[in-house]
Amino acid sequence: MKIDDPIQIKNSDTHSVIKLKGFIDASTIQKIRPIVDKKLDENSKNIIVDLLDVGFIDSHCIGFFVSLLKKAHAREGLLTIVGATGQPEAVMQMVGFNNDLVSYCDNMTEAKALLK
Amino acid sequence: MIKSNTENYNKDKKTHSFFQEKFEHSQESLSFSDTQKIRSKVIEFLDQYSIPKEIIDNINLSITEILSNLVKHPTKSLSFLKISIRNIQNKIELDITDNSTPFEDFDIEITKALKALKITVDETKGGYGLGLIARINQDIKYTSSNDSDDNLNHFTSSQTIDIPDNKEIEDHTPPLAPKNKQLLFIIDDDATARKLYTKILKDKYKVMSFEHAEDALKAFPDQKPKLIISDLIMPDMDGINLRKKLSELEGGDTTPFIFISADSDKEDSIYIDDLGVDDFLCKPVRAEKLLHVVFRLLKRSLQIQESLQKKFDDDITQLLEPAVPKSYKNYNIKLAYAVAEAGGGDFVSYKETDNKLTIVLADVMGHGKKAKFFSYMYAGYLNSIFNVNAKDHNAAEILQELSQYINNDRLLEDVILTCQCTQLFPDGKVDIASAGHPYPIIIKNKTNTVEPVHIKGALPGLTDNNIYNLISLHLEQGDKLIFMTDGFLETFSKTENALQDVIDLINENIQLHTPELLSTIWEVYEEKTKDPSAIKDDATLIIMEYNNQL
Repeated sequence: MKIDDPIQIKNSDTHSVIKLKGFIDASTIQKIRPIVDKKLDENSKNIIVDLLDVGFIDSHCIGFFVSLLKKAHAREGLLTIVGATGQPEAVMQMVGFNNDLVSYCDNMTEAKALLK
Repeated sequence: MIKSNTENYNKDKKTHSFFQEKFEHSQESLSFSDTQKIRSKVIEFLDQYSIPKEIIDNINLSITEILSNLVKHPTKSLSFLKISIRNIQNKIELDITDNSTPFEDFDIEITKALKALKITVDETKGGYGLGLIARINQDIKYTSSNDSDDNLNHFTSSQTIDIPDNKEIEDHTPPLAPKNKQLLFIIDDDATARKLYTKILKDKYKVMSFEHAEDALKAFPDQKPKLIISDLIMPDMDGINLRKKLSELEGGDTTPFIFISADSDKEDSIYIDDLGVDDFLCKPVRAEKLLHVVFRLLKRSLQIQESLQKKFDDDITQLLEPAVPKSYKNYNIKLAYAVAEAGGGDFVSYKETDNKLTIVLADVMGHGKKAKFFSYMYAGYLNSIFNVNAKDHNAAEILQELSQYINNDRLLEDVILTCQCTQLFPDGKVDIASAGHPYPIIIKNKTNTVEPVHIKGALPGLTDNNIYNLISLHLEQGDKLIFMTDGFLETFSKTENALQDVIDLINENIQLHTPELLSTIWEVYEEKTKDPSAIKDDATLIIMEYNNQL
């Protein structure tokens, strides 16, 4: 992964991991969406979003998470958010992204264990 | 064209206008790349002041949402945009002025958006931006270009900074003082590179530069830089070895580290080696890129520290949560407590043995994490005393053991605590020993009297061999004993009258049974500490009632 890439996607049998990086706003989401459409495996049931390296999100990022949530739910899978702290965590709580909708984990190991 | 930055302080109005950024263009409209530049400037600027991170985040989010909207929906080309930030007393005011198409019915829309700010999976709605703006800002005002004198749209909002202890802001200083600049180390054997990086960074950071990695290593323990930028290939000690050696120093492994190298092929090997390198920049380094990476890593490092600290505090607070059994033989026991946000350290330990219940109530003096940490240590030690000796030791002997332990332990000798040990026996006999703790209060049911139990004792660890007195009381049907810590008592009064105030309060409610009495007294405490900042210290209150008809 190049340092400036805001997104990296890895698919496996049970889940897909979307790793985001940096500052996620309207312009980042504009870049990210086509990559997600192309690379996210439509067959993998669960989606894990890694926010460990994300320091800021805005409402467009929330809109993006809602679209992922719909994808995961449509496949009867889970959306798991890893490493949301500080501003991203605060914004997610403000819009009501609570534990009923998504699972929050501190790290990837926890997130993967959750899917077993 | 983006112009920025006037800073001035208006003494009369106590207004500190510390940021102004203007975007003016005749042909092109605002682009995302412009908004990113503007926003970075605002945030990096604010970051130099002692403004809480949460407030900077909120300002950042407000600007991001509004500017994104201006870029995405340019019904009328935007050629003028001005962002100003002012500091008035403990408020930070954000003002965004533009000449684009105005929002229609802003007030109605923002109220609607706030109400609708809730995620659901089924909805296909977007547009959480306005709701977020409404949620995070105060005093939002929008004047559209149709209604303003200058034919521009004006958005204004504010954020309030909590000032500790309602501290008055002095008249002659700007309300927010610039922060001390963070220290960075630069290590490069090339003098030109050192000069260049220093020039780029010196406005925002304090910079120390080194030609040799060994010198940086020597300076590290005293200087404790917040971030290190190092060349990869150097004679003598190279960057990789510097990183390795640094990890062995206290704090070295957690200090953000950036490698700079002319050879981009080296990048992979650095990450593969798992050296704990946070970023890699290729020469030639652009000023904007370097500033951005340094800013981002420092911010990230702070976030990690804060979240670890919070987790540690929460864990310790949870571990120390005072608890007593609800009843023991013929006693009903009730407890209430409040934890001071800043720390404090009350704890309760208890142990039931064959013929008695031993309860220790203690209060570690001081505030903050240190007090909490020591409370945790003491609680652990007391549990070990209990497990070995509670069966055979009386209340005074338990305090003696604790005192001896503190006296012998160099780590604990500077820590002051008060402590009270109580042993309840099934027949109504109660033994109490005290080490500098507030007097307990006894309520005698038969005579309807309330009085203090005068039990005194030296603070634990004060001398080599503290000896404690033991008072034995004999409770009768309906008698109650009340125990409290200083944090509770001092809420009533700082003087010696505090105990009398509590006694008076009990007298007014003497007819109540234990649960009601506890909640009545606690309500008065809560009334006095309505403002959470009034809770300076942990407070604990325990009431035990003897009832031989249980």
